[in-house]
Amino acid sequence: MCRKQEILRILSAKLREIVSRLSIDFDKLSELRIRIDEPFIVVIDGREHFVSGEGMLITDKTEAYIIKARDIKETMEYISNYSLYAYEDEIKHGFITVKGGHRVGLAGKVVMENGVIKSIKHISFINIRMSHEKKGCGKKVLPYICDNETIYHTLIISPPGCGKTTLLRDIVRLISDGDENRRGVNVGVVDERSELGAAYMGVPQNDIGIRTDVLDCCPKAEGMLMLIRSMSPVVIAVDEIGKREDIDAIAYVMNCGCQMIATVHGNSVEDIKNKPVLRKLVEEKMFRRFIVLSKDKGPGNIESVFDEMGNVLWK
Amino acid sequence: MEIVVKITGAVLILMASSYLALEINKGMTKELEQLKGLYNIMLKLKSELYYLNNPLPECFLHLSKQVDFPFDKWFYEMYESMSKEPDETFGDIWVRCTTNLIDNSAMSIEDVEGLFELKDKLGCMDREVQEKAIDYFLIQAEEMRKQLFLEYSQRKKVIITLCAFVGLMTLILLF
Repeated sequence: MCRKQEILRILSAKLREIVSRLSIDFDKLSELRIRIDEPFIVVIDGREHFVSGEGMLITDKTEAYIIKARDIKETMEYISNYSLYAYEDEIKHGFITVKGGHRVGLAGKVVMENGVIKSIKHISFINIRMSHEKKGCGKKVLPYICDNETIYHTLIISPPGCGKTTLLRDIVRLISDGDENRRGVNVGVVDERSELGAAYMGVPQNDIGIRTDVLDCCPKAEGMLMLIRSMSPVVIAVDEIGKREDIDAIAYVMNCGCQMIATVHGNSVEDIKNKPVLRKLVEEKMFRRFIVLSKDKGPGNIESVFDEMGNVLWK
Repeated sequence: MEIVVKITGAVLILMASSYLALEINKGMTKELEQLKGLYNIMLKLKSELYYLNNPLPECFLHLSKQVDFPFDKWFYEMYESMSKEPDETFGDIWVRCTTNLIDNSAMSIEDVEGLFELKDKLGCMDREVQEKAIDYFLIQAEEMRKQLFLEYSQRKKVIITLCAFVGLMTLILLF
């Protein structure tokens, strides 16, 4: 099923009609913003556009199609396969992953129970984020992560929206699949927010390699320990570490002889050193490679690669 | 010769009136059986929703393999409608398929009025609302079945008596 079809099948009849008329490259479509009583917005190639009822991209918001309550209700029915109750856990986290790996973010009235988020009701805001798989983007850094049969503990540092998850996904795929020079190894992925594999009904929608096992929607710290106990991975990959328990679990993984590849929010290695929880990762030289991404030349731009001593390996 | 014809005619009349009584009774028995079946099926659906936590299309597919006609057809039609490219809301699909179920069964719309009310409740996010709606339907269905059972027991006797009476009257007139 092509991207256009994957998106059309989760939209309400009216929105489907509008989107199907759009004459755009669906590979460049990154977001659809559906907000009740507000104009219908799409984001293409990083630029926001209003959409008219006739399926035209326009700049005047007064001529844009205004989202109705029925559009939201119907879209939610299709997104959840007519079974919202079955997605209770996902909704609690604020998103549902649909076929194709696209992520549907939800907002509305949050229902609390004993101080914990129980659900979201009266969903009035939907953000459909298209899944972007960039196969091959990890090839550039792979020689710095893998040296013959050795894989180094690697930390990818990047500000939000610079493509760290995309890069991690591709590195996982390359390590898992292997090539003519390097044999593939078992990789365990703890996909807490379902972004790496983007599993839909347990099946990863993104290509994450033939030797990859995914623990979907599982807290990182617990997931890493579970994978070690059950799947004997050579490499464990996690996205967006940050909590103290994540750091403890990473130390445990490294002590078990597994290699660790992780991502973290940050601008530079120095920035990580200034964060109380993450400082340990750099100061104790837990990671041996640091890949820093930046937005300077657009998302996915690899700025530099360092080793644990701070030597620049690539810039 | 004349007497033979009369006797044959009499036998045929008695057979026809008995058959008529049996057919009418059979229809009523079938209606009650199907109502009982519907009750059991809704209990199964409830367990699919609450214990297995399956999405509705999956529940309908499972159930379509476990139940007999006309319910298998009903559930399979629901599954098919929900699995293809969606162009109808759940409420529309439910009403359409349930109407088809009634057309294919011995039940009447009055018997299963509560079933149509589920169109707004099944599949919703609030499990409690969904569960209560099914429970309410189950209570309604059981009440309806009991009421019809009593009504039909009396009606069956009346039909048998009437058919026997009509048969005998015709015989008297013939002879």
